[in-house]
Amino acid sequence: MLHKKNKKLSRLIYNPNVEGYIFILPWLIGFFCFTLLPFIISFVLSFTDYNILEKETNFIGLANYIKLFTEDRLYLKSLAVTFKFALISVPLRLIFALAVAMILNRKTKAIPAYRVMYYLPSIIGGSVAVSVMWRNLFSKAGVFNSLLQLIGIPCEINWLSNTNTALYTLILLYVWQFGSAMLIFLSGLKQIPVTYYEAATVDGAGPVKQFFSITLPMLSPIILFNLVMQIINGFMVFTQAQIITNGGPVNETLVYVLYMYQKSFKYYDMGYGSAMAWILLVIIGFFTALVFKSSSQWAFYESETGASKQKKTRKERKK
Amino acid sequence: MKSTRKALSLVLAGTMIASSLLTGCGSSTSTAASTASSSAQASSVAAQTTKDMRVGWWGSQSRHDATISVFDTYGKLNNVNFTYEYNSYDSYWETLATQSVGGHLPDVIQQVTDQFSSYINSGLLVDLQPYVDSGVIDTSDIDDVFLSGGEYKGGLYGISLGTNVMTIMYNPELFKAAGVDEPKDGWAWSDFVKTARDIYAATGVQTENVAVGMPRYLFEAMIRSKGQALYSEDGKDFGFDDETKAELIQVLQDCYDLTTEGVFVDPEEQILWSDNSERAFCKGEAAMAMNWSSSFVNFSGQYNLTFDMTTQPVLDDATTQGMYMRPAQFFSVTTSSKDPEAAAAAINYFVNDLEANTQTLKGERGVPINTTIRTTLRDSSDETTQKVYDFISDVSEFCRDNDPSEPAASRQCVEVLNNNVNEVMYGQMTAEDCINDWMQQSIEILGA
Repeated sequence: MLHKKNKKLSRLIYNPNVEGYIFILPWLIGFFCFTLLPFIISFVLSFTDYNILEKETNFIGLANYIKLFTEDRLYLKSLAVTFKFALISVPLRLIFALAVAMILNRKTKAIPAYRVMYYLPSIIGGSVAVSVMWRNLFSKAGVFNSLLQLIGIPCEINWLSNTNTALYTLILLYVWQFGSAMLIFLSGLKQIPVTYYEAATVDGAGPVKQFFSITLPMLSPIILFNLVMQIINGFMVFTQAQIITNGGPVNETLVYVLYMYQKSFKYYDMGYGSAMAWILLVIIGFFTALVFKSSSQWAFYESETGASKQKKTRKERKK
Repeated sequence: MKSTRKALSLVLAGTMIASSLLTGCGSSTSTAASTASSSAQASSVAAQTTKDMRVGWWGSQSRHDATISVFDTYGKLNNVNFTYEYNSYDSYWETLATQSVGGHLPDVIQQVTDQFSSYINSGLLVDLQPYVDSGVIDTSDIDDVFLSGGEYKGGLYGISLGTNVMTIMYNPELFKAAGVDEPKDGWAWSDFVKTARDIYAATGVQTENVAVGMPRYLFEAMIRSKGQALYSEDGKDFGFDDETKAELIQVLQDCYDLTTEGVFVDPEEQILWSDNSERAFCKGEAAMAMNWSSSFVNFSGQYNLTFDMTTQPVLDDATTQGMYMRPAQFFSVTTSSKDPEAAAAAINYFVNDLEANTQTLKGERGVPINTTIRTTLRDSSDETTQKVYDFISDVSEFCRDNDPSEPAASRQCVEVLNNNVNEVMYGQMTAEDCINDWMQQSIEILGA
C-alpha cells in the first residue's frame, strides 16, 4: 500500500510536465488571478448595470452596448478622437523610430550614449513630470511660442486649450516616445547582412535604392511586429491625455481609455465601463487581424524563398 | 544521478515559489510590524486594550499634518491606535469606492455633499443622531444651521467640519482704478454684468468667466432666489419651472456674449489653470471671480493682494434668498466600523476640542461650526481670515436653508453641465441647446 502510494508520488514528482508547471506557477497564479479572472468578470459585468455604490445589480442584456452607440454622444466623440490619434501617431512614431534607428546603426563609440538619449523619452515620457513640462512648453507664454517669436512668427495660440491644436500637441508627445520601437528596429537593422549592401554598392545602387530594395524588405517582419504593438499602444493611450489635458478642451482629447476610466472610476459605472473595454478589445483585435492578414502581401521572411516553401511557412504561421 | 537532479530542481522550484510568496507578503508583514510597535508604545502608556481605528480624508499636506497630529493626541489620551488613509481628492474617492465593495471602509471618512447621498443609499454610513442624543457627540455649542447639511432622510449622517459659502470675490483696487462702485451684497445678475462691462470699458481689466468651472453653483443660487430648487424633492427631476429655465439660458447667453466681447477671460486660458497661482484673479489681473469662501485666504495669499467678498448675483426678479451655507466637508462613520460609538467620540473631539481646533486645525477645512471655537479663531486670526469669518456671519441674511441632499447620480449631471457650458463658451453650442441637453440627459441619469 505504502509502496504503491510512494510510486504514485514519485511518478508525479518525476513527471517532467509537473516540474515545468511548478516553475511557472508564480506566473500562472498571477495570470489566473489578475488577468484571466478579471477578464471573465468584466465580460459578465458588461451585461449588467453594476455600479460600485448601488446595492442592486441587474442583468440588462445588451443595453450597455446599445446605449454606447445610440445615446452616448461623448462615447462617439471619444471613438473619433482615438481613431484620429492612432491614425496619425502610429505611422509617425514608426517613421521616426526607423529614421533614428538608421542614424544610430553605425559603428562609433558614441552610439551607446545616443541610444540612451533617444530611448530616454520613452521611459520618462509617460511620467507626470514630463506632462507638466509639456503644459509649460505649449502654453500661451510657453517656450514653443517664444521660439516661434524668435524666428519671427508671433504666435498667441494656447496649444493645449485650443480645440484645433490640443490633440496634435498630445500626438507630438506620443511620437517623441519612439524609443522602444527604435531599439527593436535597431536590432533588426543589425541582422541585415552587410554583404547585401556591399553587393548593391558594387552594382551602383544609391542609398535610396538600397533603402527600398534591401532595408525595407529585410526589415518587414520587424515592421510588422512594431506596427502591431504600436497600434495596440495607440488605441490604449491614456496617461498623457489624463494628465496634460484631462480630455479637454471640450473633449477634443477625450481618448477612449480616458473616457472608460472616467465612467468606471469617477461614476463607478463598472458595467458600462466593462462594455467599453470589450468594444475596445474588438476594435484592437480587428486592426491587429487586419495587419496580420495583409502581412503576407508585404512582410518578407528570409526563409521564404521558394514558392512552395512560402506556402508552408504561411500555414505554419496560421497554426 | 538523474533522480537527484530532478529532486534538486524540485527543491529549487519550491524555493522560488516560497520566496515569491514571501516577497508578495513582504509589504503587509512590514506594516504589521510597524503597527505592532506603535501599539506597544500606546500600551506602555496605559495597560488597557487599545482600539484600532482608521480615518480617511483628502486634502493638502498641511491638512494631512494637522489632522494626523489631532488624532494622534486623541489616540494617546483614549487608547486608540489610528491608521490614516489620506489622498488627493480623485484618488481618495477611487480608493473608497473599491474599499466599499469589500466592506473595508475606514471607520471615519471625510464626506462631501455631492457623494453623500449615494453612500447613504448604499447603506455605507451610520446614522449619528443616536450618538448626538446620547451625548457622545456634543452639539450644545453648535447652531442647527450648521448641522442641517449633514441630514438626510431623517437621519444625521455627517458632522460638518467647516462652513463654506459660494461668493463673488473682487479686487477693490481694480474697481477704484476703473472708477466703478464696489458691488453691494444682494446684487442681481444684471448688476454683475454691468459692473464687469464697466470695468472692462474703463481699464480693459477682465473678469473671470463665472460660468466656466462651476456653472452649477452659479445657477443654483439663481434658481433658489425664485423660491425653487435645483433638484426636485424626490431627486428624480429638476425643481425649477420653464420661466426660470429661460432665464438661465439668458444668463448663459450673457456669459457667452461677455466672453466674445473680451470682458470675460478667454476660456482657452481659464480651463488651463490647474493651480490657484495661475488664476488671473489671484494675479490681480481680473476684477472679479466666483469661488468658495474657503478659498479666499488662499487666493489672497498667492500674491499678497487685498480682496473682498460679496454675495452671488441672483436673478433680477428674485423673490427670496438664493445662497446657502454649505458644509465644506463632513466626517461620517461607516458601517464597516466595528465600534461606531468610539468613532463618533473621535469625531466629537475633532469638532469640539478647543485646543485641537485653535492650535492645530485652525479652521483649514472651513469656518468651524462650534461657536466658541469660531469666536476664538476669529479673534486670533489675521485680517484676511477675519474677513472670511465676518463674511460668513454677515451673509446669513442672504442665505436660506439647504435644499434636500443632492440625488445620488447628480455628480454625473453636473459633469454634463460643465461640459456643455464649456462647449457654449467655445462657441460650439448655443446656450439654449446647452440647457436643454443638460436637462434631458440629467433626467435620464436621475430617473435610472
